[in-house]
Amino acid sequence: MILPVNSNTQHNQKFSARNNEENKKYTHDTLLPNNFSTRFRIGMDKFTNAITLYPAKGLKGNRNANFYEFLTMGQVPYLIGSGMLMGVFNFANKHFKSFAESKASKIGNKMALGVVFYGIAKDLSKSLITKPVELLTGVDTEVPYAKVNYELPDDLYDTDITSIEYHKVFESVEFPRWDLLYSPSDSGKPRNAYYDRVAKKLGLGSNLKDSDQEVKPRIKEIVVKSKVAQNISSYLWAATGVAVAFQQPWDEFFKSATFKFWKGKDFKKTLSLFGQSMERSLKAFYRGEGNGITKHAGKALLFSALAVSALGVGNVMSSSQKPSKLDSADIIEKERKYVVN
Amino acid sequence: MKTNLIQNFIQNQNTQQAQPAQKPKRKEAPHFDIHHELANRTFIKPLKGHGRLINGNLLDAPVTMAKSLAYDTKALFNGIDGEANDHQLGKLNDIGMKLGGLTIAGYLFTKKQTPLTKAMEFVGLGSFFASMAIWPKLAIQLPARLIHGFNVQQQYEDSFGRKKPFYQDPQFLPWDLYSDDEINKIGDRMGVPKDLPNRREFIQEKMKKIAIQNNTLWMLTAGFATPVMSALICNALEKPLSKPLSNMRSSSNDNILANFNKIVKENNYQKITEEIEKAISIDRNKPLTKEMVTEYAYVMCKGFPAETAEALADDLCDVIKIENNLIGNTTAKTIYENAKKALKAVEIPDKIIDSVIMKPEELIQYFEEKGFYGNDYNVDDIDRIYSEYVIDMRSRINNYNSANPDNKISKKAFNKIIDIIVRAPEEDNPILKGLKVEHGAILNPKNEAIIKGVAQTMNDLRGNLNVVNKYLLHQLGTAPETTIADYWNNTVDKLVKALKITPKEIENTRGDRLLVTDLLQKRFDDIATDKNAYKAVMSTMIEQMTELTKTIKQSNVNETTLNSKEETKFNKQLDAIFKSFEENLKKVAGLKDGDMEGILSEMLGSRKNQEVPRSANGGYNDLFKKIASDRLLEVKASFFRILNSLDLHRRIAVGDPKYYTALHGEMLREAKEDVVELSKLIGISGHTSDYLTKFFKQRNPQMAQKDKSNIVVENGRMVRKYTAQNRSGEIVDLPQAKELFVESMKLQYENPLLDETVALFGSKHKELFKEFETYRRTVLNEIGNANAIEKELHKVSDAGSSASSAKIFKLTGAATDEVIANFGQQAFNTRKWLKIFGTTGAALLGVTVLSQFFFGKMKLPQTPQESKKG
Repeated sequence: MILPVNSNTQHNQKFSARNNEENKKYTHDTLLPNNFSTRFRIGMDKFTNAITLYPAKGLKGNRNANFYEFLTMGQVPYLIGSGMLMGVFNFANKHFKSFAESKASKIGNKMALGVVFYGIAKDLSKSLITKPVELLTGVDTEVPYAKVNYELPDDLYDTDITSIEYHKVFESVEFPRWDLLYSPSDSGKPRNAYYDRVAKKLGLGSNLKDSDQEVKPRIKEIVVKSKVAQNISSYLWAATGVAVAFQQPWDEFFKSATFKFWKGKDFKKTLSLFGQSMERSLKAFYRGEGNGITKHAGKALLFSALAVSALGVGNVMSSSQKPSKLDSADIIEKERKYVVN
Repeated sequence: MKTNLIQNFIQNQNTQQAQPAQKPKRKEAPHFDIHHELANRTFIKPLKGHGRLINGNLLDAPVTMAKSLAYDTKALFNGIDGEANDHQLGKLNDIGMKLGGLTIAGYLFTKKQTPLTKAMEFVGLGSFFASMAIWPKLAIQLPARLIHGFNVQQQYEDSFGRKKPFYQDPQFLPWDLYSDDEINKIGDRMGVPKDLPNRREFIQEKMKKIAIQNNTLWMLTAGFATPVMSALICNALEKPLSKPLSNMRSSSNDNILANFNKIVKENNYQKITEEIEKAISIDRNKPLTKEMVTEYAYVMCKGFPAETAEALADDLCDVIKIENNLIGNTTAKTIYENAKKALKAVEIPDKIIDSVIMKPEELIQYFEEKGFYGNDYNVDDIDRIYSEYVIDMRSRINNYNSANPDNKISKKAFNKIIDIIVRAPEEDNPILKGLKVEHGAILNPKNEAIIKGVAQTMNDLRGNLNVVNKYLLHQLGTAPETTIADYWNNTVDKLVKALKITPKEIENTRGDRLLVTDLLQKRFDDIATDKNAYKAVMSTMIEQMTELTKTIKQSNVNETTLNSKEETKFNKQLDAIFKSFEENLKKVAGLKDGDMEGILSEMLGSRKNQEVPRSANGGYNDLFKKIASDRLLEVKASFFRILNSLDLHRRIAVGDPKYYTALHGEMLREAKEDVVELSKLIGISGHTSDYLTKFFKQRNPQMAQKDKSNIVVENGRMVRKYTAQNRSGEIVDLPQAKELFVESMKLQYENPLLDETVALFGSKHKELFKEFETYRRTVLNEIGNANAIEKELHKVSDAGSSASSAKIFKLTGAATDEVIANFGQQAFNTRKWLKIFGTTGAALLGVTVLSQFFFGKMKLPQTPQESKKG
């Protein structure tokens, strides 16, 4: 990469919510630990960028705008859309007469709760796939890394040409960042430490000569299958969340709930009531009412979501326990010549 | 190791020259042959791309959809096999989202009760996805194309056949897919100077900039737009959808009556028989108690009130003879033991006891000889058996005394025996207690057959009535989206339009019935003064009322107060159900007349004795018929009342006294004006309770006694000579002045209809006209003269009336102002919602489109100035 002749390139950065001092710690693409603190930090960084810098950049038509920014901005319609969806069922209610308002608010409240439960259930349910997979295979499909991105200068005086992007190692199944999973020489660990661990976990044995070559196809398969399972099951869990939000016991909750958190006693009562309503709603959802399909729809939905999650993990495991499908002899033809870069 | 391709090739060539050429064992992919590529040294270059821009049109849509489905399916299977690529995984996310959406709609579908609300769940889902797709096309793509001349949401297909948005990644734009001509054409449209150096690059930069700006705009607006647009689509589709759904439900209701027995069979209701079967299997061969039978009866009477279950329980107890006692071994043993114990307690010697009291085996033999043994008896029979026993016991005492002349039973001992055996009350009497110790009614095969038979009959009845209930609810129920509710809403909607009530008026009067009353009074007066307006409103209402007979066929179900008493399918079906019930009940256990009279009275109506026919009144059969009839009557009365009120207003407006003869010559002018005012008012706002209390009206107690002239009408309105003026004095309610109510009712319901009103019915609506006349006559007779309930001291008439408050309620129907107020409330809410979100949607669209005029601004590159230095 040809960089502009400037001695200050490392000291200036634009297009990030983080201050420069903090971002300076990433001078090259860096693997990050997949823990709550990192996830929260990344989430906040992406969120603040998505609502401030990226739209500003995009509306100006900045030539450095990229696909990452476009995807990150995808949060904006998701969040605004959620709010609007709640609003569509609630904003007009205050103009109605009391009875109509109470009737409309009942639906509106449930709809709003449904939107919240949709998001929470969709997000949390992904762990039902990723955690067991990680436990059983040693492959964390969600492991993040910070990418140092070089940009074109906006003008002659623009010396800030780097930005930090947060990606996941297995974001692309076609081009996973295998390189980040090798241990650096100064870490004191064997270069293939990660791959050795996964190979062992997958039952391919220890002390393999080329553990990385052995496990890469298997990891790729695991990642693909995990993503399929997540994509399908998370929406079923999201639907389950909506269904729970539409249960009768929430009517009582909204009748006496307050969201004024500064009113300590009342708010505490609301939280306790929320717990009770949740419990009753889950029961109501599971038991159902009426007869036939109406009665059993809740159970059917719950068991479908559970089944898809379980089958998803099962599918990941079923093939990762098999030996590699291709023998190296099939891949490398000894009689042919290969170009290695 | 790093090897240069060319070096590698040269080395390969040399090797090939030295050795005979060996054919590669494996054939390369047809589009890539490295040997061929490398042999052609001059043209070493990247492989030719196979991508293309997608310029689809609507006609391609089916093929595109089919291809897309095939691609998604393949993506799913590849994903399950762990072989999907990034593009395919992205597609699977879309599939998941749609699947989730369908699941939500499906679940909520099961929670909704009515066809429209059920359908709207899927409409909502569809409209949401449609909005997600339509918004960028409508608000981004279309304006951008019109303003800048190119498609900012251009799609392309890459070399692997994957469809992608062209401007998705601004750092990777496959510009080679655009020809020079295409780019130049876009440049021309953008006004890029034709002689600009590197014109293509400049145009590309401009296009890229516009695309980035539009993509950002899309992300910023989609969140606002999608839910609003989706909600607006749903709102727009609700009405068009409700009509066909209503028609479907109506024909489905007709189908219930047409195929009643088939539907009952399909439903296969068996709950009662199953539960009774279960209970019997536990209780089999046990003594039957009243509690057990009552429990069975409650199961059998599912859906009926407790009174019905109790009636059935009593009937069953009678038929099974639950109170009877069996004379058997236990009876004999108990009598002996009880008696012996009691006599011993009063120190009667054993010898006497053994002689007087029969031992169990003797007693059994005794009962056998008498023919009592093994049979069950009611209370009277037990008393008879007891009496015989006592007589025989006395004989045994005599026999003992004869056999033991020296050791006769002393008078004292005799008295003690008689005290215990004869004189003791029932609860202390050892013989009576013994005789009643064994239950006569056992759940034996005979009784089991009776209980099961009755259960089956009740089960069949419930199965039939479930279908009847379904028909009644869907057709005439007080619930949303029933046939009658849809008809009502439709009619009120048309009435409001015909009355030309504006949204502004609705907003001003909403939620306040008194304001609506005022509005309607003025509107009715205005309409009455305008012949054409009157004709338009009346015609609308007459058409709509005739529509009712088409929506709910009179041959299926009808009301019987205003219409002929023709037997309808609904009534015939009910008769058949209850007749079959009666016959089956008699059949199941060989019942005779008088048995099961309690439950038969509940179902078919009571009767004084078996020789006289039942009075249908009060039976369930009659109740179901009345529910249907009354419901229709209430709806008809509500709308006839409007016709009548409009006609009254018009009669006054026309000013011809022959149409208001109730204002007779003996009545004071001021009273006449009061009558007219009251009549107009109560037509619009009179409630049942107002009719019951005969209205309160503040009047002048000292009217001008000399003025008995008739009312005067000017410009279609009554001149209020007295009622508008001179009201500053005392005005009070005058309960004794009965003519106010009576003449008001006469003016409204007895005085002739206007000829032009009659003409509006014409021959086309003559059946309706007959009903209207009947309605007027009935209201006058039933309510106009009633003094059943009235305010204290208020004398209306000496004539009594059979009209109950329920009948008055049905005949008065709903108050017109309340009908319009309720409609206004709903209409206001819908309009308010539309105003808020319609405005939001329109503003958002405006901002989105307008902002695009400011996109793509770029300075033309400065041409470097030639140096003037040599």
